[in-house]
Amino acid sequence: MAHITLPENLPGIRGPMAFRPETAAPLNQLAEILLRGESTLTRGERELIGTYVSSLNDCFFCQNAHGCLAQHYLQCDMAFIDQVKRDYTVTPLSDKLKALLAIAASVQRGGKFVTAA
Amino acid sequence: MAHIAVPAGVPGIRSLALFRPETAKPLYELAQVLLREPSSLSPAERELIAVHVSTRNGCVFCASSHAAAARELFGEVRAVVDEVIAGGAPAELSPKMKALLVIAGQVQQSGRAVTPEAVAAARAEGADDREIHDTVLIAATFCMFNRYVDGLDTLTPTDPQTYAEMGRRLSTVGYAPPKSA
Repeated sequence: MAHITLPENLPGIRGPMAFRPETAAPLNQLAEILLRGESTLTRGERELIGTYVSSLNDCFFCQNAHGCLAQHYLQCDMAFIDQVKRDYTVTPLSDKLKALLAIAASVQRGGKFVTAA
Repeated sequence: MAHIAVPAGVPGIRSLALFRPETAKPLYELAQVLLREPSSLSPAERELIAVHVSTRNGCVFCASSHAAAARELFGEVRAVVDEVIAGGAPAELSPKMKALLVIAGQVQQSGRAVTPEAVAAARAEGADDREIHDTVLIAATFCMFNRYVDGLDTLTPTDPQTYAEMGRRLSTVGYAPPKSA
């Protein structure tokens, strides 16, 4: 049971988004631009960042929803996504993406954990 | 020096908004809806949630700018802002607002740290679903803003007067992305 009364049978963020469409609009626009808009990072790479942070935050819905999207875009299997969550440093991801995942992990702890070096 | 090449001399999130206007648009729109558009919580009360979370996240830019906005909006009882920053629960705040600040503090730790007991306590003081929803989303949104601003090491002014001016702008104009430095 959710803490508030949400439309029934909508999983995860879809419940609160249906409950409050005024805030859902900018939230969806932001996700659309960040994850699917034009970028030098692929959609798969960006979904993987979302998946990894959600995993660190222990958010079951977000890590699985975005993990499945990352798996689809990267054309890998779910075992690979699970390996990234466990320890991305031992995966064949590019060095650039590994460095970006390290920044994302710092942001997850707190903005001040992001270091210049 | 910020971690990336943002416009020089522009503080905090405004420098990031100029660097990436595409993402600034929904971010500022989200802030405007959450903190200014019609709600049974006053803009002052909603700014106080932002201040509480930003303080706990140690984000000096966000905590100082929203504290300045909250002081403007609270007017004569502006001292409540500094009491909340200091960790107090001022008598001038409604019991409902104090209960909502507890929920916001839990969100700051983690979404999963929000307890049914804290939600029940807010309900017992008269909070409805919409107020609980907005409290959680304001707190979660500021956890994002705080990480965004500090994660890129943006310029954090130290002069209180700079924040007082920001507070006056935020309390009168609200949230609109900057058009130029």
